[in-house]
Parts: sequence; structure tokens; C-alpha cells
Amino acid sequence: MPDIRVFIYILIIFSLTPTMIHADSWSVSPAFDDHVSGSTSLINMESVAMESKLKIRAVGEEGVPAGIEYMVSIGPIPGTEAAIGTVRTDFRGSILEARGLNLNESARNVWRDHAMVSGEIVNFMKSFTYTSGITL
Amino acid sequence: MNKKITVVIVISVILMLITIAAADRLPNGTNTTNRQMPSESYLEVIGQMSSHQVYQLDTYSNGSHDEGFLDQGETFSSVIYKNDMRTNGGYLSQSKGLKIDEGPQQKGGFNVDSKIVSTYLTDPELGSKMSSSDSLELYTSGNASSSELVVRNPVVADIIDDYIGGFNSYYKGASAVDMTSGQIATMARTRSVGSDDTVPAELRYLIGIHPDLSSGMPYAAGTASTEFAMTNEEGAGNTTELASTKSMADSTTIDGQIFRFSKSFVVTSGIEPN
Repeated sequence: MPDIRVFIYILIIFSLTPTMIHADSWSVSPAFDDHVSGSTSLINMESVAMESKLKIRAVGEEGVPAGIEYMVSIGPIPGTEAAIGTVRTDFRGSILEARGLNLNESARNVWRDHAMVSGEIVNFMKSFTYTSGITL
Repeated sequence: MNKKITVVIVISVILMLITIAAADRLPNGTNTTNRQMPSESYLEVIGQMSSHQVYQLDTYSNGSHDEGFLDQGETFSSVIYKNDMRTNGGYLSQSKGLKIDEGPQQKGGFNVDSKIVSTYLTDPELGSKMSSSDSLELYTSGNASSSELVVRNPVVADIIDDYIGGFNSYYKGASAVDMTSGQIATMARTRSVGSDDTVPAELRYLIGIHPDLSSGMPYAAGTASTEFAMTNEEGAGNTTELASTKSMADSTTIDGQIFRFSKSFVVTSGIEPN
């Protein structure tokens, strides 16, 4: 009987040990290096109605994620059927992330979204939202 | 022999006999990742249009290696999504949505989720056309891992020598279309980061081509091709010897008056507790 108790105690200790190590290893804020950009160009527009919106959260308390909201909308001016000209949009991002105290890259994100529209533009809308924070 | 000792021995033997076939295990997300990037675009134009979209997400379960193989238990996944479209005139209406969430997903969630619907009608005076290509690729790799699924503890799994084998997997769904009139809808979704080892890797790709009824033509006109592929190799236990290989490829090309064309591809790979 004592052998069985020892065996059970050892099993319980083995079961709890990784949980404790796991909790400790996540209490560090890991390294990161993030770049995000967005731009819109209007070229040789003969007539256009444009609306754009940009919101950025770059300073916050701990736990508040960084955020970007960008929207651009191109349409005809009242009384016409279409905007006329060329519109170009370009969104880019490059993200590096690590885990714990390790400086090796654990996640890499790279994206690009490029669009060009030329002619009679009845409607052109692009929106992009970016949110990034840390969960410890 | 005491009955309780017999029961303990029998349970231990059963645990030793349980083996799990190797299958994809996804890396878990880093804890910097609340990152979500939804984007949408709507377009209606008579004229020219070009767009290029690319997204790549590489995730290592334990940090990247400058050289050499993955450590035991380590996993890696890579997703590449590309979409290109170009017209040299004519009428184009397009709705495009791309949701990116690089955080760890549950079963049913996706890291990349793209939906595009485009309607095109040529300008007969110019003889214009629309060209588009779209592809989603997922690569996953992992070294043998002590199984936490049976005994829920890596240390005990090591003691009873219970392992999930290593694996290399590649999945692809892609399409390319050249058309003078019609409507195309594509959907591309994949899951490359899991919240735990039981969340399977998944790739879904779907394309449908239909006539644009508002143009008065009962068919879409042009050329369309699709490519679906899967390759997989798996090991058994904690050795590096191959235990299983699988491959699958499907490609289709159609050309002419397209009344209806639809193809879909779904691949899921993961491990489940026995």
C-alpha cells in the first residue's frame, strides 16, 4: 500500500510541475518590431469627391493595444455619374515577434495591398484596420 | 498480488500501448499576438484597374533556427496568400474582404479568410479583358513530440515512451482566370496557428464562375484554371524514419462559353486523443 501512495504522489508532482513552469515563462513581455503604413494618391483627377478617415492609437496604458483605422472613399461629385482620373492605394506591414526572453523570431508577418484604378470611377472604397497588443 | 497494484500495472501497460499516428500539429501563437487586420474594398469602375495583394505569416513554436532541424516537439507553419487582378478597360464591379488574425485559433477559426466577388464586362471597342490569379499555400512541419494528449503531461509521456511522430505537409489551392464577361467568386481560408495540439491545420479553397445575367449574356466567356495540391510525410514514434507519405494533385482548365463552373477543396489534418 505505501508503494501505491508514493507512486500517486509522484504522478501528482509530475502533473503540477509543468503548469508552474508554464505560468512563469509567460510573465515576460517579449520583443517585437512592427511597421505598418498606408497611403492614397490621386493622379490627374478631372472631377472627384473624396472622403478619408484615419485613426491611430500609439500611446496607451499597459494592456491597451496599438491600433490603426484607415478608410478612403472615391466617388462622383453630385450631378455626375463618375469620378474621372486615377487613384492609387498602398498598404504595407512588416511584423517580427519573439517569445519570452528568446530573441529568435517566433512569428513573422509581411503583407502588401496595392491597387490602382483608372477611368470612370463610380465607387472605390478601401478600408483597413490594424490592432496589435500583448496578452500576458 | 494486491489487486490495486495489478490495476496500476494494467493501466500503465495500456498507456504504453496507445500510439497516435503522426499528423499536423500547429504552433501556438506568441503572446504578442492580439493582431487582427480586417480590410475591405468595394469598387465600380469603367476603365483600367490593377491590384496586388500578398500576405505571409510564419510562426515558430520556439523561435526560429538560423540553421539545422527543428528541436524535438517543435513546430513551424507558413501561410502565403496572393491575389492579383488586372483589367485593360471595360466595366468592373468588385467586393473584396480579407480578414487576417495571426492569433491562435480554435477549430473552425481561420488565420487568413479571403472572399472576393468580381463582375466584369468587356468594352467591345477595345476588346478588353480581365486577368486574375489567386493562391493560398500552407506549409506545416514538426519534429516528433512526446504526447500530452494521452497522459496530459510531457514528463510522464517521456517516461512511458509515448510520441507523436514528426511531419512535413504542404497544401495549396489556386486559380487563374482570363475573361471578357462573367462573374467570379473565390473563397480562401486557412488555419496555421492553433490554440493547442488538438486544433487541426486546415485549408479551404473555393471558386465559382457564372454568367453576369445583367449583361444579357447567358454565359461567362473566357478561360479558367484551378490547381489543388496536398503532400504529406509522417514519421512514427521519435525516430526520423518515414512511416507514411501521401500526395494528391488536381488541376482543371476550361475555355469558352462557361455556363457554370464550380470547384472546392478542403483539407484538414490534426491529431485527436485516442
